[in-house]
Amino acid sequence: MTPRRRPRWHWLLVVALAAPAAADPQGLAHAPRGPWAVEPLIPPVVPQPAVHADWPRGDADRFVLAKLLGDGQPPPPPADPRALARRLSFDLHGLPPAPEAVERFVDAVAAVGLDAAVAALVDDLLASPHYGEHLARAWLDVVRYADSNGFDWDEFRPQAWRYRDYVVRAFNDDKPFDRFVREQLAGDELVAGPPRTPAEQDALLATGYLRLGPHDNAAGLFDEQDRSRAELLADLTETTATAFLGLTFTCCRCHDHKHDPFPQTDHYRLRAFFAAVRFADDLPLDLAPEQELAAGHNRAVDEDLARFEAELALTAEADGPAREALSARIAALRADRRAMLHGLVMTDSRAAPPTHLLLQGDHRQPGDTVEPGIPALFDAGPIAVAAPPNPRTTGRRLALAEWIVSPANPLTPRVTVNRIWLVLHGQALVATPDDFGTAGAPPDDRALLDHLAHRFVADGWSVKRLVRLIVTGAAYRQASRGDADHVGLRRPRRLSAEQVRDALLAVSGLLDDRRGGPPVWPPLPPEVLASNPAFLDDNAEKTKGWYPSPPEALGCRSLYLVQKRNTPVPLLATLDLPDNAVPCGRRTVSTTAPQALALLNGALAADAARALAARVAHEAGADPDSRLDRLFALALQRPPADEERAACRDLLARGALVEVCRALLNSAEFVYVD
Amino acid sequence: MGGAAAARRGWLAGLGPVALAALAAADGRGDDGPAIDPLRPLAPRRPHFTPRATRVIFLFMVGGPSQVDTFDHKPALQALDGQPLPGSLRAAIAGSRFANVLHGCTDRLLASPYRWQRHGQSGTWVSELFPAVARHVDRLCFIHSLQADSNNHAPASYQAHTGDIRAGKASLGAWATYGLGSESAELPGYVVLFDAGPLGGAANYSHGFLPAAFQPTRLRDAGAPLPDLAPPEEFAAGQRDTLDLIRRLGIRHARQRPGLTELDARLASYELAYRMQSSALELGDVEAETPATLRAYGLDHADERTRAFGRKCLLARRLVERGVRFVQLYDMPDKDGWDAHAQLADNHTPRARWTDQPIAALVSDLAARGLLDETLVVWASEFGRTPLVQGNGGRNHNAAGFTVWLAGGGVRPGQRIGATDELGYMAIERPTPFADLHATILAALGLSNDALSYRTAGRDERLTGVAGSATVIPGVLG
Repeated sequence: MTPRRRPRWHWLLVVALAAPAAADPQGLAHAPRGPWAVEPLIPPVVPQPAVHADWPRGDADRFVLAKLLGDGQPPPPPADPRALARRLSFDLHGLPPAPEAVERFVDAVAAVGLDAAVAALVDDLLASPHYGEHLARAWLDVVRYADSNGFDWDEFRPQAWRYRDYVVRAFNDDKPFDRFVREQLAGDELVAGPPRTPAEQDALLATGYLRLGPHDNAAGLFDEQDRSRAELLADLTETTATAFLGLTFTCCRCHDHKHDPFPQTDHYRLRAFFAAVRFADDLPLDLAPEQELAAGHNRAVDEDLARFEAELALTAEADGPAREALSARIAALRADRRAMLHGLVMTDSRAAPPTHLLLQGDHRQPGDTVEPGIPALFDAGPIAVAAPPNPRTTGRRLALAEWIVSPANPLTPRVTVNRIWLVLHGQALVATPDDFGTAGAPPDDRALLDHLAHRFVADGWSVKRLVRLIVTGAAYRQASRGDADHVGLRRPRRLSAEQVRDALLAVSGLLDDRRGGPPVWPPLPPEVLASNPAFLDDNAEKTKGWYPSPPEALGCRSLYLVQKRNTPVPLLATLDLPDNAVPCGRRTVSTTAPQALALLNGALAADAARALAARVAHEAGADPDSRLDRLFALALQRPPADEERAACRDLLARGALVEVCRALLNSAEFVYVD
Repeated sequence: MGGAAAARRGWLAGLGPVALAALAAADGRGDDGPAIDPLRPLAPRRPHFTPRATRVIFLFMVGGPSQVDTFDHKPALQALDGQPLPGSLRAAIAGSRFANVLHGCTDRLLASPYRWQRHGQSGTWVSELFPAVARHVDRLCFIHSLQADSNNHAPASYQAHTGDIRAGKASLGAWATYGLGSESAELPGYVVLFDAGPLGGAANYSHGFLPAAFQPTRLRDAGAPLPDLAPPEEFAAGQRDTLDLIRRLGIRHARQRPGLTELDARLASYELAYRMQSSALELGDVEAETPATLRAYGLDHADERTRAFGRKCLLARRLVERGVRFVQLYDMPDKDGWDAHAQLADNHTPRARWTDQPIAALVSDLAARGLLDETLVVWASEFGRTPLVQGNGGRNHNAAGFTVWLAGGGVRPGQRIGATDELGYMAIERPTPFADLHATILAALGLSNDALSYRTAGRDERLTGVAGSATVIPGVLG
């Protein structure tokens, strides 16, 4: 199924239907030329394959079926219900299902049929807060989330978690994705004065997106603040182009893009949207009434403080007792000042300095000035910047966000739908999720992608509706095949680093339900703790060191582990944690001996094996067969086959339940999902 | 299926289908990058042209040792001690893109507190800091005109390793193993050795965007060389039985999923992990060396830090001897390194003592074993230091001109290439960016820096940036 070109009047009609009043028809007059992904988003005609008509569960499946049939592939049969329950749990929660949930699903399939059973299970999964935690992880990769600055001392960012929790909330609350885009790029521009609602508070926290990149805190010491500023702006430009538009703007930082029609000016036009940004660490985030109360309280305290300090200054040095009494009162008053809530947030300086094109991308070689503008292939003129709700900002970033979510931009729905498909299917419709340019992979099923992208926007940018649409489809529920090599077929995949750790904790009963809040610091091997230059230079503010959390906190999900740029958690790093200096839309998967060592001999894996053995012994009693049934149900969500029973029996007979547990936790099946 | 056959595939037993696709298609090898067998990513690969060296030991002195106190002899600096920087030099620096190397200094030149002497047939000047290395001076090729694009540790250090002052790129060692694989099946291809490591952390020696097969492995120089090498005590006796059960379960699982080759790789990875316990322990058993060798590296030295650095140098030799492609070794026993912002001698004198004898022993030992011809040894840092004084007898960072040296595999010995001005402040003859040093190191390995590319996020990444922007330094390779 190749997309069909239509006369422009048709497209106009579609756009008008999709987004009537607010639509900015910019770019409609001249359809852009460039990579396929910038072509207008026209919903393709839904194919109606004549055979296997009972296979599709909806229109998206009809595209998949047409593609399969077109390539001579029969549609795959559905997966075994246990495998499907396990898959849904890992894909929507990032966690293995409880054995009881799997049994309930198997029963439901028998009772009400596959469609109804899947729909009910999906509703349950989408309603759980674990859903937001899992979807957030993929987005945090894209926006290069970390809890530290990177560079020399890799200072901890004590407030970064508030952005992480915002992302989790956004997915759990099904915040429309267009709103999610606006808030991250320009949440501060949407809020005038102190936030009046939790929603406005969230809009401010969302600007953490603008703060997540590496930051060289020491640049000023060496008179390199200009370099640091130029890097911040380049990073925001390139990350924004990648995360929201699927475009590579790294090349055109220095020269016209080699593969795509992006001249160097495009980079700097995009950069100009960010020209006024400044760190807003001092911006109070408490709700307006609380801010007023606190401000009133602090004013009163400050008056008293001033009085006592003046008095102290006038009290004779010799009068020890009087001085001590005054000092104590002053200290008490200082402690009584109410601290405001702060976050890792960004806002604008009042005015934006001019943005220069930089020769060879070098901030020491400024060229002509440029005005804020979207990629010229869409509109080469300067963008119209309206006054934002917040009078203290320039309105530039909001103007960019409005264009990004407007019907004039076909990239963002395509890019976003592709990212979600990747999370759920393990492979993307466009194999290079961060590059929709001509150097990226061509779409493997463009008609399906465009169908979903159009549907996503028409459904109010609801990610949950998109997810539900995908996972209730026949394409999703198919039985996987080891040799699958077609976009419509599913291959088993290895769990991500976080999923492996979370699964070890979950099946052994060590996972705790703690959600959100400041990150948890796992213990590190002594040679790492004792040797890192930053740790050795630990400071009073407690930002340079490593501060291990108490053991009882270590059962948290991996999402909540601290993510220091220069010191990744070793177990996760071994399992292909991506570099977090730049966006990562798709992780690579490697199979290495150090992974085997970590899962065989590492402390966490050993703890999990011991806990799992204790759990099995407790829940299944002493009978070896009961133990095996329970162990397989917990670890693999299925009963053991006879062959497996036989293989485990010898070890069990010797009383080595924990060895069998270790073997199960190291089995390929444990870390793969079909 | 055969675990034993599969196990021979190597240390990092394989990449998954995702990576396979990545290596084959749009996100992958780039126009001219090497073809990687996803099941044997570290299999030895042919270089682009005849190599002069097959292995690299990169000795990285963290923090910026002073060029004017080590290898860049400046009589004028000695003569002008205490004087202000001459106006012409100040103007030249202030007008260059290195103007900020003047920042933070007092306008008073600081002569080197060290005595200098000519060494070898080449008559090369070396300060008294490096008496043992000085004996090898005819084997070394100095480049006196390196320049970095930042005057701060982490960005300059990232550039020294990855070519870019920003984190997130792939390091030299990762590029070398990507280009060439490794000769060792049971040890990692790219090894990192340090106590405290470089400023800027793991982003220095990272594999960046390259597949994880090319990631570095940090080896410990005392005790078990790798973490998690042996099981916890209580599991030791049952380890073989557990592995057999993992294998039986794995074979059944793989049989039900024909075509998923990464499952074969996974079976192999467990067998390899088991065998590594002995091969890695054997590697780490430096005490098996002769007493003479141990003494030569300083393992009996009175100073504990000389012993620690000596062990790393000795391990480096043992690693390249076993076919490991790239050893990245850091001198960083504490949080400061060579970063002598005050009291230069208090910083530099002990650091030279900790490193001089082990480095000299490494060069001698490699030569004696016939390994030096094929092993490129590089000594470098992120930048040098200012001839002007900073604070109380210190020197500030200096990215405008500093010295590195190379020896061994293919290097023309006894050379001095490039030069700084009369005071050792800024490179004036053959200014050399790190990209040129990188191109030269790759060339010694038989790799073309322009051809060694990897496509990621829509562009062909290279260690040396856009094609055609770096040159192999003339005269370094014979």
